[in-house]
Amino acid sequence: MLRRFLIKFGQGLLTVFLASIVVFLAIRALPGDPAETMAGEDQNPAVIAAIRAKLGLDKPMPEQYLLYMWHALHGDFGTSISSRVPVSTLLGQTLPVTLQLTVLTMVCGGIVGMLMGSVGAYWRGQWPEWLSSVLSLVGLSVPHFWLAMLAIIYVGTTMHLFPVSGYTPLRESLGANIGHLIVPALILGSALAAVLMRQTRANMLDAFGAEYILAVRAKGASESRVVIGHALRNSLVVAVTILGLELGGLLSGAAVIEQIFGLPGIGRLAINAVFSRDYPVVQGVVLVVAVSYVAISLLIDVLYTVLDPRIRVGG
Amino acid sequence: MSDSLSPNRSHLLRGRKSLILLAASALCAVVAACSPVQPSSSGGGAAASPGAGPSSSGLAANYGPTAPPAPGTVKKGGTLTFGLSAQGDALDPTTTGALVNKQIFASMCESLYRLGGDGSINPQLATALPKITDGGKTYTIPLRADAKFADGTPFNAAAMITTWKRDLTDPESGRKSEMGPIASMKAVDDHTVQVKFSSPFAPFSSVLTDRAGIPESPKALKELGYDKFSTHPTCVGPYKFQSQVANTSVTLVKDPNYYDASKVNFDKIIYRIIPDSSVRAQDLKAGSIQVTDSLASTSMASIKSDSSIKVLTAPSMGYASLRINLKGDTPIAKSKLLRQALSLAIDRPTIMKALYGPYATPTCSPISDASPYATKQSQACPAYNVAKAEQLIKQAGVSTPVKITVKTSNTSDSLQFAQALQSSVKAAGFDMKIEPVEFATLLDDMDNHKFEAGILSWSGRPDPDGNLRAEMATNGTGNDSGYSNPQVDKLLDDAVHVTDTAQRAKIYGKMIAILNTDLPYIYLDRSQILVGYKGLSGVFIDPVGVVHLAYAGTTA
Repeated sequence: MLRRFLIKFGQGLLTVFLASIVVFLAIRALPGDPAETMAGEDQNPAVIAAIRAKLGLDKPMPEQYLLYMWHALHGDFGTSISSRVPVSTLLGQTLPVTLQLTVLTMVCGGIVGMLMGSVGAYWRGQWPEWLSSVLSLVGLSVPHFWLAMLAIIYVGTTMHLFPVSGYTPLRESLGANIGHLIVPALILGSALAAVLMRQTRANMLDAFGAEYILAVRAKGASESRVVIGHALRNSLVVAVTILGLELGGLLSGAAVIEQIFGLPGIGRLAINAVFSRDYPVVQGVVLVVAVSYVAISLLIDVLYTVLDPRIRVGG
Repeated sequence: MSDSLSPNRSHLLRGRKSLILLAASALCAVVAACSPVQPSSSGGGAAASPGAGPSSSGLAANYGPTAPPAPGTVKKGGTLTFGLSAQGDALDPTTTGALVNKQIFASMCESLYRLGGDGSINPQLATALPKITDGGKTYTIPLRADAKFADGTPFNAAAMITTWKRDLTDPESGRKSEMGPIASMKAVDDHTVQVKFSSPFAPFSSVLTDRAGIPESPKALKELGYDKFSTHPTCVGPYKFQSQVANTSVTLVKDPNYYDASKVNFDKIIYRIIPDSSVRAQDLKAGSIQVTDSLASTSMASIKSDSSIKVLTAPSMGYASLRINLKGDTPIAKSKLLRQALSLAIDRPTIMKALYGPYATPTCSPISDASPYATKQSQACPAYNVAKAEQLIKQAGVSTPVKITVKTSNTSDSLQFAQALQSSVKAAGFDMKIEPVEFATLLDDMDNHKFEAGILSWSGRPDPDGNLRAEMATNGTGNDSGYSNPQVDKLLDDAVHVTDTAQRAKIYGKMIAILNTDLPYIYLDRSQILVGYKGLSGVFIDPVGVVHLAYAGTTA
């Protein structure tokens, strides 16, 4: 098992390394460069040339890349070209916001998804299953940004239940923090819940039809033990896989939601950086996201062994 | 108990239920498809004010009161939250190219002069207008003796010279090209500076109302270095910089060192960055922000429904234009007549009314009707005339349909605008193809002359030289069309060598007449500045759209 883990770890490192090269080349392949976007309306060629020289953008690409990676390995991700703030500071400011949103989304979406999925599987053929199918379809099809605008208009402005936009850090106020994040989390969670609902329902139905459930029932186990202790538990492996995949996506920033609700997260940072061709920031964000994906994938592997002993032994 | 043990019955039930659902949804679809399609309302702005016929020169301007509110009418203390429409670049008056930063500078970095609503130039950190001598080549400016930078160091002539030296020598300075041909500068005494030009430069007073007129603390420049000045910008202002979080907010606090500190009311101003215009409008309505710059015309209906929101408005000094690449190998680049035909084929009044209602004014020149430099020629805009356009196309010897590809920024507003143009010019025989491009790419394409025609907006400078030289001078720094006309070059120089406004206006009038024949740019419209606020007193704007909050306070 250790060997398996080490191989995965090595693959992860390679993935991160390749991702960094790809994004390095890709962002520079875009027309326009940070010097032009910084020059603003005036587009004075002399100013643009001076900025380019200062940023080392006139150096050959392999040299720029090696310089960047050398610094990155020492923890220096460079300085944002447009705001002159160190990239590590920007990441440090934005990552916690996205993390909080992600955790809240997973809690909302995960609970709702698994609950509705189990309900749909258990009461198969009756209205709860129908309801969970409809909700699942709605959650998958309705565009997030539309839901977001509706939420802002009705929940925010008209009913004054939640703030329209913005963010309050956790250390300032837990209540305000959740207040700012709960509506975005529910909206993002709707898609997550939809996917989870269907998967959980399918897996639970499989489990209900399996012989071991019959055996457990024959042994006299209570209904809740059958459903939660056995059927649900065996569906968890797939649920965890899905959560892991979605978590990666959520971490890279639910950019549209962040933009609409004014949440200063990593997705919004990345979008603005791409538009202003802020190379160090884009590279920094991609590195962080790549490392997160790899770390989560490793974590899920470990989680599998806990949930399903067969995997542990299989090695 | 659990129906999973009785598959047959559950299948039957499911079958019937899904049949009912299917029938219901089919019925809904049929009803929807068969109901008549309502014609969509003609754009947000027009729908907003039925019956309020827009005048040809847009809305009446309302700049707000420039005098501080009477004592007792505003509360002291509290935090003001400003909804800022975009994230700017580094907060450094010397290097910044972003317009939103001007909003923040208005509160923490005052300039020597401030632009008044009537186009006047009012002393702010200077005590009087510059004394202009030596045929317009020497400017002597008296400065305030009681002003201090936010770090406590005195504002004086030496500090202003230090800043200007940076503006002229810092390679990243965006101000150098604005400041004119400066030959030398000196501090005559502690509170008087003198600038000598190699040739007369009339726009200088106007330039000093913008970022080039903002003094930066020499102590801060020395300690932080040019590069890092933006991490803690230190100038003279009613508020001073406290902190900033990228993409989120900039926080300012009251500056006790300000020369008029007793009239400053808030403890703190937070500039919150809210790029989405509808969210910003909702935030204003909900009260989570108290003031915002640039409301979108599409938000105005919603804003007007809230009587507690006050709107300040003025015609912008800028414009949107269709820029033609004269260096291209295209029919439109080679033929003046074709360009004139294109301009005549655009039904400006109808397009602006449909898209923006009263919130945009058609225009054929870079000088606003409200400017002191307006003339008959700058106000002239030939009426939409398809017959004349067709005649000119025939004269140019080009067969219809005339194909032309127009690049535009790929935001939904820009696309809508381009589509309106497209359908308008079709009648005269122009087949316009729209190429939406991401904004940074668009800038790059225009700089490198990789386009046939492109739609871009310019925010506008108070002095006409700022709206014309960069784009129209041969080798101008912003000359996207590659236009070169020695007559225009001479007129540009003539206009800055003279100080008298009426004389300069006449020269610009002549220039615009030439430009409207050559048409390197087809000017399209001028938008309306729309600023909204709620529960405040003492807020005013200037003709550039900057919101001044020095004396603002919560209404008591």
